[in-house]
Amino acid sequence: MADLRLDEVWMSYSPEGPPVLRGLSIDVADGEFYAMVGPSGSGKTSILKVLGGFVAPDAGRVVLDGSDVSGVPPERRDLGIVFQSYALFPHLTVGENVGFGLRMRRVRAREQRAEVTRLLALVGLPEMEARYPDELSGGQQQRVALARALVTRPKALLLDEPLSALDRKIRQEMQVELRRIQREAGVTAIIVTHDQEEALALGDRLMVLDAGEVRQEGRPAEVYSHPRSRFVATFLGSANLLPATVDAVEPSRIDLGGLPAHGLILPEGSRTGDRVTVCVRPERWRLAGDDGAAPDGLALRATVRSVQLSGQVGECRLDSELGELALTVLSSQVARLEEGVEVSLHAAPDDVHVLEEPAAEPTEATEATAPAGSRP
Amino acid sequence: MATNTAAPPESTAAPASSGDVGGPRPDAHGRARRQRRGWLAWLWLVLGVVYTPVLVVMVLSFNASRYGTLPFAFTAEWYVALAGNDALISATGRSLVLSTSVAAVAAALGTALALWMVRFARSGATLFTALLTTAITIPWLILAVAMLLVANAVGVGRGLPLLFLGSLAVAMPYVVLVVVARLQGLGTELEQAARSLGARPLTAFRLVTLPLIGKSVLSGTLLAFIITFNNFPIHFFLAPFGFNTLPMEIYTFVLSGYDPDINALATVLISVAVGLGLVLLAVARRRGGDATATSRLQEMWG
Repeated sequence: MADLRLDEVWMSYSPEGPPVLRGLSIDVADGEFYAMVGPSGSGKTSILKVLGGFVAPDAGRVVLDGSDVSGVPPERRDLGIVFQSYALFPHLTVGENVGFGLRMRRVRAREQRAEVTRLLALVGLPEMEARYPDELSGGQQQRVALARALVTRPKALLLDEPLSALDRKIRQEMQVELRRIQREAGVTAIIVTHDQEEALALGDRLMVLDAGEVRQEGRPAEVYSHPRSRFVATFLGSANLLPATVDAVEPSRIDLGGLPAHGLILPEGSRTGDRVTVCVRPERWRLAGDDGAAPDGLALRATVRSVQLSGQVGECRLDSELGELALTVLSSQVARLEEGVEVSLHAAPDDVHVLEEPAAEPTEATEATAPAGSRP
Repeated sequence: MATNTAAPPESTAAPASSGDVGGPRPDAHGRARRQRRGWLAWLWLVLGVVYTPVLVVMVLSFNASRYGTLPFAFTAEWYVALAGNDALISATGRSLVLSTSVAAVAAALGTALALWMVRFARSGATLFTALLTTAITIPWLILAVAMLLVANAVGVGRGLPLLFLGSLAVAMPYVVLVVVARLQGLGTELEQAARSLGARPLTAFRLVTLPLIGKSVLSGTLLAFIITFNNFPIHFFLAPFGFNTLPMEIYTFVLSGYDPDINALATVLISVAVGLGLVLLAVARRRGGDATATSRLQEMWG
């Protein structure tokens, strides 16, 4: 159990290749569950390889438990790693798999057996010692991999997309289990995943990674409800992104193609005339009564184009003067939203986020104007 | 298929069609059965072409007639003659020593080379694999003649070193290719997992990688042994004069007239080979009683 830090780490796989990690810094506190989420190719697995000691960074420091471990080989880093494929040794039994780390530390056989039993009980697989990995289900293999990584009481636990090979139902079960086991073991844990739901559900803290750089970091709820860039807004959940111009700064007034919005919080240093993007999460629209009053925030009228019910919620597409909008409502409200019905939408100032980037040419805009290494 | 295409025209009369659905099925079953019989016949034909001569030779090795004529009269005479045939016995000894030593060196060097190719050669691995695959497609006769040509040109000439080197060059690619395929399938995560649990690189190799590639190394080594044992062209052109391997000795015997003690020798060799195969199968099946024999065999050879 320990804290873990990356300091300005640069890394590329070949000398002339492009850097995969670009001056990346993270700081994980003792006992914290830290989730890193990003699209494939964003450098998630590379971070774990650097932490695990399988790849040396080109520049920067890896600090574990207060000391620089940059030159230390994997076998002396004292980290537990759960690989995406689980990497269970197929020729060894479950008991031998879990006990492997103790065997390497020359722990006496009787203590080994006791520890293996304790760990298998912790992950909910008692009396499985004699089985071979290929006789277990995916979820059970996952638990064995977890037990094997925890048995040596490592300083930290690294999880590489640990749940991606499981089907949806078991995955949700395992998310709860993973949190319980991490709490009970009291171990610092880092999970990398491309699954935003997993990251939001598991992490004490969440970091959104893109192209080897930290895009946003914070408590999951905070990052989700206050995205600070188009990338974060669209990668974590979905978002309505609307082009707008700053009309006035104090008090703020924003012009969305003729439609004004009042009382929004502007990005720091905004000036009149700045082109910005306004972001509203589809589930944050409120269906307002037609009282005609113009409250703060964003209010507009729209026509329902299509409704798709998916279990607890309904996903609607609407046409408005701002173009197509997405709206998510609880399924109990879907009955009111037939095709062709006109509704009034309202989003409170706190649910409308003004992003610094202009809306045009999305990919270029996210690359060019994102504040590099921005941190809360 | 047949039921689906037949259903729509009759679907207007629902009760009738439900009765007809059962109609085409026996026919489909019949076709499947006929197909199965066809394939089985083909399989037996292929097996027959290989095994009939072998069985005939085995039977003839116990037949009293020198010229393989019937009626069959049992005798062990040819085995006694074989025991007294010093030329054949010493040739068998030479062949066994050559094949065993070549297979052993091919196993050690081939496995090491395969590891280097997969783990360290990076982009070169595909090129090397392609070159090795090409190497095993070159006809042995041409290879043997070419090797002798070059050896003579550089002044080495026929001899045991050349025979060993030539045999090794032919046999080792099989070990490398079999082990490379296994290593690529294995990936590096298992070794990384072992490292993260505290194993030094060599320990991780010994406890994790080696047990998992063991069967492939063994099957590659067996291939190397069999190929070296059988490689008549290489023996014929590269062996020093007077050093007759078993295939060469048999060739000489057949040229000068055929004695049934060759049948006896063939029977002994086949029995040893089959026995060895059964032992290997048993070893491969030992762990995990659930897997079928065929899947274990596939694992063993791949």
